[in-house]
Amino acid sequence: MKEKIVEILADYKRVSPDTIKTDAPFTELGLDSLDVAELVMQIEDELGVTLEMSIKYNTIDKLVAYIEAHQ
Amino acid sequence: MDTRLTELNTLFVDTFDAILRVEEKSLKHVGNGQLSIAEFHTLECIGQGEDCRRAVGEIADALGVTVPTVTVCVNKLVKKGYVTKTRSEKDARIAIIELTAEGRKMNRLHRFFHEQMILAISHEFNDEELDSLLRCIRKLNEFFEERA
Repeated sequence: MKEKIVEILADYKRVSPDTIKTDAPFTELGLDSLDVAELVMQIEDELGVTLEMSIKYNTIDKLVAYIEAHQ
Repeated sequence: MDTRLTELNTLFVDTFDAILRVEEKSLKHVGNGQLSIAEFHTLECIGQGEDCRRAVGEIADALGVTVPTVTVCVNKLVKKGYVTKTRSEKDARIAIIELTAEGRKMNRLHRFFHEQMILAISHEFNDEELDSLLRCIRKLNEFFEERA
């Protein structure tokens, strides 16, 4: 799942997935709260999950942990 | 004019203008930058209808604009894939506009922007100030709603 999210984010940012650090805060990846919200909706579509549009997951690792805990 | 009133007038105009600029700047890149602020507000209005559906006339009334204005906006939104337009089963003269899945997404993002904006504003005030602000804005809103 983490790889898929990295792929979605890399595609959104138009960068190589290798450059995405999963423990880096989204702000460090150049994403503001609306970017994250847009990504959350893409992730919902791709993974078939329902997520809160919240800024409490501020890294990919935390987002993955949240999805796993709520699946 | 009392200097306070002069400042109040300047603050009103500047704040109103700044809110619109912040909203426009923040939402500019959302949805590949395909939507104008007016279109976001039209999607919001449609989203307030039952099952995210509303008649064109209803949208015009709610937004305080004419039916032709809504029609032009809706046609653009149909082309962009954010709404669909069908005829009412009860009365074929009535066009029913419904948000598509993409339209619902844009509406959700717009709502999120407002939630974040209010949250950020609230952090600038303590509890007492927030209560005072709420009282004042409530009064202002009543004043303008009566005259709109």
